[in-house]
Amino acid sequence: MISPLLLRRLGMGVLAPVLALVMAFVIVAIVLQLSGFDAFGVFGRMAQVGFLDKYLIRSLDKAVPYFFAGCAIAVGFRMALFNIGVEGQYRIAALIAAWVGAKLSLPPVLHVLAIVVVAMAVGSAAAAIPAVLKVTRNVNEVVSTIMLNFILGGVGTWLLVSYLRNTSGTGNNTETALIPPSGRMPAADSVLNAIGFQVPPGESVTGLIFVAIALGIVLWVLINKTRFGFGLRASGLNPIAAQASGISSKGMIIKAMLLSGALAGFVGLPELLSNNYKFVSDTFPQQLGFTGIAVALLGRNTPLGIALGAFLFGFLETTTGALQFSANPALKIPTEMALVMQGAILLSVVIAYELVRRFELLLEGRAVAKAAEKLPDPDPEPAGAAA
Amino acid sequence: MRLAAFVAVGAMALAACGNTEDPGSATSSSKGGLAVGLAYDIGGRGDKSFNDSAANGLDKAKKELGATAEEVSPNQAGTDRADKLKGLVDSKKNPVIAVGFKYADDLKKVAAANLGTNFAIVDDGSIQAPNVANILFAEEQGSYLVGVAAALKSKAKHVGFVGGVQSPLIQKFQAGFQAGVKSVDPAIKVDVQYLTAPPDFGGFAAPAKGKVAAKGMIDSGADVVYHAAGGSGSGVFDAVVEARAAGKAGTWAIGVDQDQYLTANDSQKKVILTSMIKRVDVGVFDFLKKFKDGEKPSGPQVNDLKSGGVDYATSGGYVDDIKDKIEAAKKDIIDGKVTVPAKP
Amino acid sequence: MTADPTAPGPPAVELRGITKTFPGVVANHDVDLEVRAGEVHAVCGENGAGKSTLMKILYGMQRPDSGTIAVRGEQVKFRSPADAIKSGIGMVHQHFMLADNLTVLENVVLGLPGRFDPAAARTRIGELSARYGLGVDPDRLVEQLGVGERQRIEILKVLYRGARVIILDEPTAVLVPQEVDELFGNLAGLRAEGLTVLFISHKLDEVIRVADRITVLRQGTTVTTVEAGSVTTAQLAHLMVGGDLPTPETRESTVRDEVTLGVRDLSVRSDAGRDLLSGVGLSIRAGEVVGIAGVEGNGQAELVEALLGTRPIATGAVTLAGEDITAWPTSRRREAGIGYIPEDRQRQGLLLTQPLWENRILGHQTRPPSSRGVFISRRGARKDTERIVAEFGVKTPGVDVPAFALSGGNQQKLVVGRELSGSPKLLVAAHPTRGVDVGAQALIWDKLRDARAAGLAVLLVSADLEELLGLSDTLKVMLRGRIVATLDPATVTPAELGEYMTGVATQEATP
Repeated sequence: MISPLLLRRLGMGVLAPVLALVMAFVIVAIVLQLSGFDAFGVFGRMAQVGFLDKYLIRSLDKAVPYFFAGCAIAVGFRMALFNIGVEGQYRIAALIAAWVGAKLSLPPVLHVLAIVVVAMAVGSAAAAIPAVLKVTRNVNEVVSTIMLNFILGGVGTWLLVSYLRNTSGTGNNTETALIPPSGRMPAADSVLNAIGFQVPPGESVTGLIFVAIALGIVLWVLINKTRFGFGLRASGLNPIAAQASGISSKGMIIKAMLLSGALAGFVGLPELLSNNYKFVSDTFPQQLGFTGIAVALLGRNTPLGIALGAFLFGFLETTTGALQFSANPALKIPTEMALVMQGAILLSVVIAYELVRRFELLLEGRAVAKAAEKLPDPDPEPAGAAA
Repeated sequence: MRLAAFVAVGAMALAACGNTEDPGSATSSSKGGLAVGLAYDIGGRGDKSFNDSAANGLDKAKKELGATAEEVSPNQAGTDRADKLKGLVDSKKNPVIAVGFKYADDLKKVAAANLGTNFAIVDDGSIQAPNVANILFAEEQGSYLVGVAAALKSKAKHVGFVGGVQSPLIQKFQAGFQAGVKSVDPAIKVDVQYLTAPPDFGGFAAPAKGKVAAKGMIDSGADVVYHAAGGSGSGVFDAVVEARAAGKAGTWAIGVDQDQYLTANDSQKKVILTSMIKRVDVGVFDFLKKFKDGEKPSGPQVNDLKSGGVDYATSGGYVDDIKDKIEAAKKDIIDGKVTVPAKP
Repeated sequence: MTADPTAPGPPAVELRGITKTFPGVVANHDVDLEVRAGEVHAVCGENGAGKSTLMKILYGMQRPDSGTIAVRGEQVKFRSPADAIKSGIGMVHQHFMLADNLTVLENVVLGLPGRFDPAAARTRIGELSARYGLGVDPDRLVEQLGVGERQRIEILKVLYRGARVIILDEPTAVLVPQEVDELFGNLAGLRAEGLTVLFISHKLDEVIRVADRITVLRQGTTVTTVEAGSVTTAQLAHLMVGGDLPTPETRESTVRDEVTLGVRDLSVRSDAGRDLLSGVGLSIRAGEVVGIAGVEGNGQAELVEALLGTRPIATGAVTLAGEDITAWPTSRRREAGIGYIPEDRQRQGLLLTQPLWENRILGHQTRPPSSRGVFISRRGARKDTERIVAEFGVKTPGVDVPAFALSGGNQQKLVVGRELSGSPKLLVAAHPTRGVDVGAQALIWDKLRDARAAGLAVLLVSADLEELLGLSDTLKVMLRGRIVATLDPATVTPAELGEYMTGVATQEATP
């Protein structure tokens, strides 16, 4: 009885992303052709360059912050909380962590740990604001987090310009001082080389990729295997039932937002710990929080899905970037086309997942009804006899 | 769902199997000629500002030096600057020019990894590497001259400075302007206002904010307003046009980067006293010319009054009556008699 | 049910053989309804009898699976409320649909097509208001108005759109008695002007007061239509509940000495400060079932929530097996042995998209076999779900299917099985057999009796008099947030019960 159900579920699981990819390909192909590019040439070239070591490595490196951002968003999504504020949270977290990291002098591992802890703590603190507002004043977290993105951005700028900036720098950038080598994260390159990748010179993958993998596993266990995770999911799926079951919705909102904020704290760490070692106001990566929303949606809020979604976004960014250098003008698509592709994929994924979900519900309901019909009437005692 | 993603990705991987050629380097360099890689800042060619100025220099090099060029610009989030530089290097471009100091951190790394390629970066003096030239401008010198012009034209003994974004670069403009004003009459009051602070770079593209800032200064008594605010400057001009219409006859605006008298609309033309010209095109062209001539420029390439890299504009003829005094100030700076401060 | 030959012209509205099924539930089955022009016609029935569905069908919000609708003798098919409005049918919803920050005038014209002429609209509103005695000032802001006035604006909105038949869905639910009187005055005014009013209610006294004729629905189908003047509240209650009420079985009492639940002076107030529960006191002994009878909306839901700890209380104390649990959060109460069968299993009791075994964990997430330390126990939960499936005869191919795939009765069996797991001390059961088939109902009753025999204390809130009389050891009647009567289910007659429920009869409150 079970196995056909499981088989079908598996089939549906394959159907959704295939449908999404096909839809996305069609949309993007139409857009490209209408803009005068050779769509199939573009796709071919992307597939071709994307798996060359150089670009593969680059995509992996880019995927790491996307993964963290996706996880931060997903924790909220799992209980129907929309933490749009990951953007503001990771930037303020990175700024403070960069400053603290540059000030501290600690032995190597401890130094890195301290920076990580500061980033998580600041991210959590920033996320606590909308959480408290929601719990005590019932302020919609979408509104408050969007507002806080601006407020935190302003506060960060003020802090950086007034207190945290490195005044002894020579460049035109407004930035914090460099984190000393003891506070830096070794690159993952040697490990990757050992397991069969070939990291080309000039490229590097942040060592945080291993942190990301570990975090993904921990998150998966936390959400799927623990009481906390059950409460989180139950609150998201049916807050009224969860409340009646003794799962405090207010408590879960606070906990989920703090966790989301702590995860947001990781988003800026690849830049701090293994790329630039400082917070530069003009060039510190932006919009990762918003990309995280897309990645979480793509990955259906599961760590593995988010990892794949993050890689896909990194892949799109590197491969479309590479196309800019193509000799063939029919392939030389503008960088903005990467955004179009991301948008098309996202749209397709949302539509395809919803279509498949409805189809699945229909099939599953029918199948269970049918299976139940075939079952012998299972009433263990003659119903009503005791009445 | 995840399985399928693996399948799809795997299929693409197989398709790519056995291919070791890097199509990123598909563009071959023009044989023997000057194959330039130019990385604009966000906005790229056509921004009617900084990037366009660099593009003009490149175009001149194409015409006069026979250069070919690959031109790229980063995505809106600015997360792929390093990728763009690497891509230009991979496409065998030499030299590679980065427009804007935001490239500094990335260029430093890429340059260190590609010692065989020559680089130049506009507006950044922090990188010191044998294969990196720093195309710098003495904005404070040009600003000093327009400061002199402003002081001489101000009847109210009160002028204003509108900066686009409060960054060290724009503060150079402010410092020079203030010094120029004070050199004429230390009693003249200088209002200073910045439209935004980093990381908000909207101050370079917010005419409405520029207008409000300039109007505020005029309302409080200033009669000459100098802007170093990119696209927001048009709002500053409009504020002055309106002040004139409201009866404040002697009110002036001063433009920046290009000779803005030439690009402004007719009503704005009447109020643009002069402009502080920053010749990014000259800086880029000069660098390319030196490179073409066999030199491998590295270190600071200062474009100042002396080299013609910065200057003031005379279009419109509004400064004709005070031109002697401005020229005298210019000569003093070129001769080294006056040193203009770069920090306010 | 045939048309009255004396009625002039065709009926204003005639529904014939209306059937509407939702997945797992038959909401309407072969319903007939005939409303004469110019009468106030009440449709009454218990909650879940199919009143709302029927009205939604008449107003074009839902389409019937079969059956016909005729308006003034003409067959119609409504695809949307817009069609119904075109045919002159308007509906005043229980929950008002007004924009607070707009004026009355703006609210009335909101959503109308065509050009808006304020002067003409103001004149028209004035006319309608005067003609039907609604007393509406078109220029006041809606946010400044009271509930009764808002309701009159809703009525005006409907009239403005040219309605000749007005459906009022539970219009008195939100009103205080004085406002109810005013509303009934307005309804009389409407009738005097030749309009037809369809009045939906389960409050029997009101129905008899205001209606000309009454159609009674029970379990999704029409029971009968009677002249309002010819029935008593008791007779009506009898019709609503259906047939003869079962004679409560004589059975051995399992009531023990120890008090499981003690409630003293329990009061709950709404956010607006209105008393929802006042001074409720009751105690339930181990092995005892205390039934709460009452017209829905008289504080039963609030009592349940207060016991579960999901609603803050204003005064009072609650003890469980001698321990004061007044300050305990829901989680601690559940752990201490309070089981809960919610009124609406899908909304309050299940994670529909999750497999059955995960639903088994809900409410038991901190206790074995659902959890082990900080982890949930998939194996333990699955095994125990299999036990429930077997013991309660849940028809399912396995414990991995999502809950939504089960029929209503099977979902309910799962919920009941879950709530009887882990040897609870007290079960709070709200309408435990609502909307389930007869077989599941009998099984659930049996299981509740078994648990009672084993010492479980049960608070049974139900609208099903048969269920109340058949299961309860003691019966309490709630009216307007108070316990107004304590009755012996073995001796009480449905008529008496009806009188207490509607406040016709009173008894000194006996806690």
